[in-house]
Amino acid sequence: MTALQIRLAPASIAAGGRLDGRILWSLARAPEITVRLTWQTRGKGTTDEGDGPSTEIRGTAAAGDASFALTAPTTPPSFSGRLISVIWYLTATDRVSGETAGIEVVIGPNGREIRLS
Amino acid sequence: MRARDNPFRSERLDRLAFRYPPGLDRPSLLRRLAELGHRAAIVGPEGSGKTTLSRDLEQALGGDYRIWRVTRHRGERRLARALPRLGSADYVILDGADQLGWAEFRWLRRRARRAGGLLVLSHRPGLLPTLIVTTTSQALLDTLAAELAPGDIGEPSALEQHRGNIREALRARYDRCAEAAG
Repeated sequence: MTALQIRLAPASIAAGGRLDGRILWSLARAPEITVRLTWQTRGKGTTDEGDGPSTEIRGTAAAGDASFALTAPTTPPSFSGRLISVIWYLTATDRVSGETAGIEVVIGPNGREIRLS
Repeated sequence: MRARDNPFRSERLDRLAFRYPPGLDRPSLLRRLAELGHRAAIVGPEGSGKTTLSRDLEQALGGDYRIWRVTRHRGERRLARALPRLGSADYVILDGADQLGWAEFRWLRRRARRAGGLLVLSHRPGLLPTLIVTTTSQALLDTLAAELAPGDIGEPSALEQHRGNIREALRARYDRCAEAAG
């Protein structure tokens, strides 16, 4: 196992829905982990980014796991057109070791990315 | 094609490395910068790699100095007086020096008098001794485009159509790529 892992089921949720997941770690010391939803733009223009909700996990041992739940924001939704995409990520960062992990999450109507062609 | 899949999307353009002209590399340019007393200008037209080169030099200078990067955009005349009192450990990189008025530039020079360095990026020479003049060519555009998208989709856009501006030419390829893919 790598130092920090995120497990989500599923990784696609409706805006405003509940995102349930689990963080697994195997580190040198008990971690202090911030789990956060963030979004970034990709496309032709200057990139932009923003933060969504977050939660804290304080580990009691160097190896372990913990579950978490976050409420998915309603805006901006996961989106892709020709000019811009909005991509959501779930990140886990341990302040003690500096280890990070990230996974893409789709937040949109019925758990789907909005597509414009 | 989704914007996130377009090989010419902006964050990939931002990650392109500066291509040093033949006979010049980062160490030699840093030596020249030192010879100029760390008061110098990168001069070149829009989209010719001035910012990219300055970021490459910043990586090297950042090991010895605290870098203060100030970016002036078109239409912004006044320099935000946000720079602290500068000492020999500080190094100022001013991107968009042309956008500063004469008085503002004088103020900056005075402010940076004791700084370890002042490197400005400008379209025209004359503000400070020229460190390098950045230029573009069709061959350079084709090399960068091939790095971003091997087997580039669509017709190559000629650099002259974009007045020598490589960034604009690559952004045009973004459009062509998006249209070609549907």
